[in-house]
Parts: sequence; structure tokens; C-alpha cells
Amino acid sequence: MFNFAITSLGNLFFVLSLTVFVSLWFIKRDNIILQTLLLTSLGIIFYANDLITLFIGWEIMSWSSYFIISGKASLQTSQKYIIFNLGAGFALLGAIVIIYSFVGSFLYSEIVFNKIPIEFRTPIYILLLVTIFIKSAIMPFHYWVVDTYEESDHLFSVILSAIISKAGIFLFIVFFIKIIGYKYLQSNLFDIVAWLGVITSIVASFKAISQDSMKRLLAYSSIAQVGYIVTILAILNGSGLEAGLYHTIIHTFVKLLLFVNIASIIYITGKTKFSELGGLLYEYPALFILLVIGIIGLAGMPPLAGFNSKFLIYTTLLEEKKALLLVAVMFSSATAFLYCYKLVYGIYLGQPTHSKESYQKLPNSYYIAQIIGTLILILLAIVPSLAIEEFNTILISLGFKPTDFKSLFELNGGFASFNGGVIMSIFIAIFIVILLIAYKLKNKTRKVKDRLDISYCGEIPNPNINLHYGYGLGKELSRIGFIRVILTNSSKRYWEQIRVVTEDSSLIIKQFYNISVQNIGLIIILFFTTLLLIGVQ
Amino acid sequence: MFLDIFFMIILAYSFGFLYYGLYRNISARVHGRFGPPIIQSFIDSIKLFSKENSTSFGWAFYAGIIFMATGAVITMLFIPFLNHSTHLIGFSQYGNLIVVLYLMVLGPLGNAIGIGSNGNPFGVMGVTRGLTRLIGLEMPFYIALIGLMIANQTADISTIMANQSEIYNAFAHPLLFIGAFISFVGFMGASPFDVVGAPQEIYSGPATEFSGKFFALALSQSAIFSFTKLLLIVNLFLGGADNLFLLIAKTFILFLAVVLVGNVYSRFTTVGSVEFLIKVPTVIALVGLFFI
Amino acid sequence: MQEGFIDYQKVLDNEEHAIKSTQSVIEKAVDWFRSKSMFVLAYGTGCGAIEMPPTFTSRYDIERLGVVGVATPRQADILIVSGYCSYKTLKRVIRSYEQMNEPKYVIALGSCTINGGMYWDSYNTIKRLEDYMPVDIFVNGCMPRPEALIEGFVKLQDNIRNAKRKAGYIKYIEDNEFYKANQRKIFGDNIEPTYEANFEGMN
Repeated sequence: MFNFAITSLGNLFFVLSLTVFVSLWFIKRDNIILQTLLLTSLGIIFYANDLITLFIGWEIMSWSSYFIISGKASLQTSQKYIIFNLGAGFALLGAIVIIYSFVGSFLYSEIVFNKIPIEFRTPIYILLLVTIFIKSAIMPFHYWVVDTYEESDHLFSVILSAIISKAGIFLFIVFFIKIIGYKYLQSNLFDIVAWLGVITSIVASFKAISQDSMKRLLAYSSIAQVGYIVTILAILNGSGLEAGLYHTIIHTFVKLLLFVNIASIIYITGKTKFSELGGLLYEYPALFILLVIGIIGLAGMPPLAGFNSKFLIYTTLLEEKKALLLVAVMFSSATAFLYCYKLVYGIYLGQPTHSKESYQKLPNSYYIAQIIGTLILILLAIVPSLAIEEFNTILISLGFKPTDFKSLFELNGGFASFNGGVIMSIFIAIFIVILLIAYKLKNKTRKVKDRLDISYCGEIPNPNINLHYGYGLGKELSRIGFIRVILTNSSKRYWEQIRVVTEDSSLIIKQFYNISVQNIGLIIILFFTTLLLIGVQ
Repeated sequence: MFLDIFFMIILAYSFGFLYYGLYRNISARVHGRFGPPIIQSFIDSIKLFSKENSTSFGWAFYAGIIFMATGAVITMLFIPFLNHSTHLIGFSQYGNLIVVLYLMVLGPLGNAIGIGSNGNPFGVMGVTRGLTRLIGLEMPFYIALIGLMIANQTADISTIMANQSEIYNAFAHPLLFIGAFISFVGFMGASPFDVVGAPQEIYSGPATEFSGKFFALALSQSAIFSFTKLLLIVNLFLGGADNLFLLIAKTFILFLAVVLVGNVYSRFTTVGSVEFLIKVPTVIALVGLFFI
Repeated sequence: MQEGFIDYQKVLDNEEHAIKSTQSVIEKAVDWFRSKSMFVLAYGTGCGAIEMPPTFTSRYDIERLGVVGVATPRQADILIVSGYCSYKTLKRVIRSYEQMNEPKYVIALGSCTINGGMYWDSYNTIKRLEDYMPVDIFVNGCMPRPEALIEGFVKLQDNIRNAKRKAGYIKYIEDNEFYKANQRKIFGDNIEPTYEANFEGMN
């Protein structure tokens, strides 16, 4: 019944998932049976060799994660989650059924796509794209993501953001590259897909800036980053695939680091909003440094490894001469600096707004996941082509040319290349030199004795004044015209209308289930009419 | 190699300060008075380094300033100073234009973290203004640079410089140059886009709590960074330079243009500058993109 | 209990505050640089502040001497107390003075700082600034013209270079009890901020 094959693509995704799960099991082992079931279903998806196995794994993933989420989230959020994911599953089933009815087999290797007539190809693409959009939260199908990430268990949000959002990406690669093949895809549809991905990133970045809750900000940030991956995969060539895979790895580890850091802060203080936190810098310096490393990775700045994937995305777009798409991606990437700064300012910098009686001590196991993320970021910064070696096997197995690179320290994007080891080493060398110069200078430093010794126009703020109003960092942005349009609209209206229409139509069908004389008569008449019509044909 | 790098840093430092002194002098002559001597910035810097004590707010404040200085120096090292030369090119063969663009943002982020750690709300207000203004500033600038990269089919700064032997890029792609110049005025901190450090409004903005040697480090990094940005525009649009005199002449002409524009206009608000930059220079640069 | 913003013990441990009878070449050079670039805190305390804008702008142009206005006390060297000081203003002036970094100088502008001037019988202003803050240069007049202010700056430059008088900030540290006692007569017994070191983790 099941059909498995060990492929390099499956290996990559499964090792990522296993690393995330295991590093979280060091901290807490709640719902261990359901989480193991989730991991097994992911293994089934990644190692499947025919379509039915893939679908079975997909469905098990949907309902096992639903049970974990609904333990802690509200009823409305869990219902949103399961309805959207069941919709994704049904779209996938529809595509599989259409493929089977023309090809006659479920195995990947036996699906030859030119047996399918041309008028059925576009519906298959659209059904598959609906599945991928729902799972990867491309707008307007992102409606379920933000509330789910916010209300579920703090450590399960890591799994949601780091792994389950990549299931859609895996589906894209398996269907559109492996099974169907790029030569059958028309580029007009995928131009629209690329633009949808970029528009998702821009809108999600602006919405992330204006949030007050930490987890919602990171949820919108996840939507934005996965939007980049969908955009670059829709370019439909080998370097696009490579850039997408690199960004998958980087994004998984960065979100592991950031979400576990947020979970530690919530464990210690019990608060989830920026307006109630602040000034935790000197009490938890280790957590602060880990978050800064995560921020630099999220924003995609050299010398850390976040820059590598952004570089590959830019060089792919430059080679294909898609200038407008590149401008939009760079715009969204520059907007990301604002919410990255808000994340670190709202929690660790500024003046404290809390009292310290209700603090708990953090167990050391929270640091393991964060250190894993940090190590990967630093390792891939120094030897960026280490990941390219792994990707070359995947590229060969899917029929593309492998990328050649001169040395492990250099990342070659085809259009341009840079040397990661040199950047990192110069950075550290100059940092140390300037630190020594500043340290050796003649004058002494006079440390302020109290946090309130700030130059505040000759006044002294007493501790009751709220000086941490920098947490409201994104509120002034709504004065700019196009950002106000983005921030004040949401997709809630349209989904509400769809819900109302569905409820009304289901009320009509409900009438048939009332036992009464008119209804039975109506059913008998309809039954015989249908039989007559079929019999006439 | 190390002598090269040392010489580059000294050159950028001294010419950055000389240009800042010239800025004060030229502004003074525009106002109808004499200004300070040209070497005034060096005297300020020595005075600040020799203050008897400086106020520090902890190790994060210290680290933020060092981060900012590192960002400025490392950006400068990846841009070649001279054209067709093996000296004074730094590490530019290991990097390219995309690396330089992202390294330019590294320093300000470290600075922002250092400013946030001192707990003064005026500081974070200045940082917010800076980051919001960046959304507007980078649109026309990046469109112009992407246009150049696609037209030259390379991302390497030396190659783009060497391709300008017949005609400068400023005349071959004039609309791109105009869009890039308008946002370059904002990058250099001149009016009308200089709302970030407005001293009368928010108590000197980001630099509120800098004293003594920290302020001296901030001024030094500002000088090196200004020279770096001038160098980038000269290399990309005005053909680079084959020897030092030509380099200094070209950067001085570009700097003069920025100073004269800055002295005439008054300041936009943050929201106003973003709205202006998204409309006028972006459209100019987009139109220029179609004519590559 | 510590009053005010300066941690005096740490500053007293710094040996540079003793006035040396002979100065080495480096110290002479450093003093020359300090006199050529002076940053003034842009703070108009009283009605004498009307004379500061003409001095700093085109007509009398003190920027030739290297003098620039800055907005925050951390970056400033000179504090100009321009005119009368009511008790309210004096509190903020002293706080700004204490937040400046050494070496710092005070220029007192106008007759009100010398003997009370026009407000000699007011219930609300101070009569002698020297009781509350150390002053380096007095510029008298009501109001002194910009040329007089420039002459005051030139004399201050001379003082810095030749180190003839004990600078004001050294007096503030050594005679701190005298100044604080006078301030306590106006402000009450506890002058803010009084520290209980309420933020651990910053050593």
C-alpha cells in the first residue's frame, strides 16, 4: 500500500524537521504521542513515492497538528485552522484524482504528463496552487496563520513556523519540478504566482511592524519570508530552485532561534506584549546576544548567513532580468529592518516597565535550540558553499546542472560571487582593532549610577513615568498614504462573506432533513425525475 | 596589502574631516559670514578624545558604537578607490555591489542597538525616524543601481567602472542618475531629508547621550561613511578615477553639489520625505529603467 | 546617600585634577586644542538669551573661534547662564551642569548673576550665582552686547591655555559641601536624584 523511496530531497527536509523536533524535546515533552505522529506523517510525505502515500501523510499531518493546537487555542481559531487545511487537502485530492484518471497510475515515475489533454492541465495547476497557497500562507489565504501562531502553545509555534510552512514548498518542488517538469508549465501563470509572493511579503512586512504582541509579529514575519521562497521558485529554473532551498534552511533555523527566545521571555516574565516589557538587557545578556544574532540573520545582513540566501535570490532575478520583481523584493527586505529593530527594542532595550517579583528562573534546556540555530548561522557564514554541495545532488537528481564553486568559502550565484570567509574574518579583525583603540584612550569612563540619569532636558523622570514608549514603533507609519491603505484593510471581510454564503446554502440543504410530509413527497418526485432523465439518455 | 588598507583608512578619515570642514565653510559663505578654519573638525575630534571622562551606559552602549565604526570601515574596504589599478582597491575582488549595499545598513543597526540601550526616549525617536526615512530613500537608489547592474551584466564595481571609458554612466543613463542623486542627498544627511538628527526638535536625536570619546568615534565614523558614499557614486556614475588627484577632484565636485542643494532647502517631515521620495524620484528612475 | 548626578568619589580618584605648576608639552598642546573648539549648551536661561542668537549668526559670527551650539549637556563644554535665575530654573541649570563631562566652564552673563541686578529685591531669584555654582568668567552689563560676549570668550580661551586660575569644575568637586549646603537652603533637605542604586546588573 505504501510506497517509499529515499531521495536526497526527502533527506534534506526530513533532517531539518528531525533537528527542530529533537531540539524542542529537550525542553518539554508535552503531547509526545501526537508530536511523534506528526513527525511520522512528515516522514511519510517527504519519502513518499506515489501520490496516495503523499495524500495519506498530508491528511495525518493536518489532523494531528489540529489536535495539538486545539488543546490550547480558542474554538474559533482551531476551526479556522482545520477548515483551511481540509480545503488544502481536498484541492490536493482533486488534482490527484484528475491526474489518475488520465494517466492510470499513482507512482511518480509512471506519470507522463503529456497523456493529459491540454484543457485539463490548467485546472490541475490551479488546484495544486490553491493547496500550496493555503499551506504557505500567500495572501489572501493567510487568514488562518496569525491567530493560530499566536494562540497555540509557545513551543509548538516553532514547529508550525519552521516546518509546517515548508510542507507547501515541498509540494511545489515535488509536483511542479519532479512530476510535471518545467517544460510543460507556461510562464504567464507563474509570473502571477511570483508577483503574488512578493506582494504577500510587502503587505506582511508592514503589518508586522504595527503589532503589539510578540508572537503576531513573528507570525507575519514568517508569512513574509515564505513569500520570498514562493517567488523565487516561481522563476522556474535551476538557480531559482537552489536559492529557494537555501532560504528554506536559513529560515528554519532563524525561526527556531527567534521563537524559542520569545518562549523563554514568556516563561520568565509571563507577558506577551511589548508594552509590558522592556529593559531586560542587563538581566539576561545571553538571551539578548542570541536575539541580536537572530535579528541579523532574519534581516539578511552580512556577515551572518542570512545574507547568502538573499544574495542567491538577487542574482537569480538579475540573470533573468526581472527588474521590477527585484525592486519589489528589495523594498520588502528593507522594510524588514523596522520590525527586526522593534523586536529587539520592545523586549530588551529601553526603560523597564515591570516589577521583578513574578520572575521565574529559566531552565538551561531553552538554550540548546538557540545555540543550534546560532551555530548553523555562523557556520554557513564562513563556508557558504557547504550547503551548495548538498544541493548539487538534489539538482542532479531533478535534472538540472549542478553549480560549480571554486572553494567552500565562496558563494557563486552565477551572475556574481562573494567570499564569505573573507567578510567574516575582516569584520572580526576590524572590530577587535577598534575596540582596542577605544579602550586604550586616555580618558576614563564614568558610568551612570541609575537608569534614570538620562539627559531629559534638565528634568529627572521619576519611575512612574512610562519612558518605554518606543514600543509603539510602527504607529506613525499609518500616516503615510499607501501604508495606511495596507494597514487598515484586511481579508477578514471577504472570508466572512464566504462564510455567510456557505451558511445560507447549507440552510437550504438542511431542509431536506426535516421529516414532514411535504419533504418526503419532494424527495420522491426528485428521485423519480432523476431516474427518468438518466434512463432517457 | 596591510599598507594598502591602512592608507585607505587614513585617506578616508582625513578627507572625510576636511570635507566636513569645507561644508561648514561653504555654508558660512552662503550665509554671508566667514566660518571656522578648514581643519576645525580635526581640532574638535582631538578635543573630544581628550575629555577627562565620558559617560557610559554599560557594555551594550560601548558595543553599539564599536559596531557602527566597524560597519563604516568594512563598507569602505569593499569599494575600489582607483580604476585600472592594483593598489588601493581593498578587498573589492572578494565582494560586489550587493554586498556593499547590505554592509551599508549594518553600521546603523548596531548604532540603533547602542542607542536603545541607554534608555533615553529621544534616542529611539531619532532611530525610528531614520528607519522610516530609509524606506523612502532606498527605492530610487536601488532602482538606479539595479538598472546599472542589468545594463552592464555584472555586479562587480570595478567592471562597471571600467566600462565607462567612452561615456560616463551619468550621461548614458541620465534619468537613473537624477533619481539616484536625489536620494543620495538624503543619504548624506543634507536638507531636505535631514529630519533624523534635528537638534532643535528632538534634542539631537540619536546622538543625545554621546559624550567624550563616544561622540568622537561617532564623528569619525560619520566622516568615513560620507567619504565612502561619495566614492560609491563617483565610481558608479562618474567614471571612477585613475589617480588620487582625479579622485579628490571628482568627489569634491559631487560633494559641492550636495552641499549647495542642502543649504537652500528647508526640512521635510518624516512622512513628507517618504511620500515625496516614493512619488517623484521613483517614477523618474522607473522611467529610466525602461530605456536601458 | 548621594545627591546630584556626579559620582564624586570616582572623579576625585582621577589625579588629573590637581593644578600643576609646570605643564608638559602634551598638556599645553591639549589645552590649545581645547581652547580652539568649544561647544556651548544651547540653553537660554533668562532674558540674556536674546544676545546669544546675534553672536552665533552672521553679523558677529563666533563660529570663527570654533564655538558651536549643541543641544544636549553630554556633548557640551560651556554653559552660559544668561541672566537671572529663579529658583525653578536654578534646579534645572544645576542638573544640566552636573550632567556635563569634565572639563567644563561656566560663563555668567549679565549683572543679575553678580549681585541680583534688576531683581535685587525679588523673593524668587538668586542674588549671587557664585554661591551655588562655580563661575569662570563674568560678563557684566544689562544686557552685554555681542562684542562683550566675544571678549568674554577670548578671555576664557586665554585662561584655558595658560591655566592661571583654578578652573570652576575643580572647585565644584573640592568645595562640594559648600555648594550643596547653599543649594539645600533653597531646595530643601533632599536634592534629587538621591540614589538607592535601584537597578542591579549595571556594575
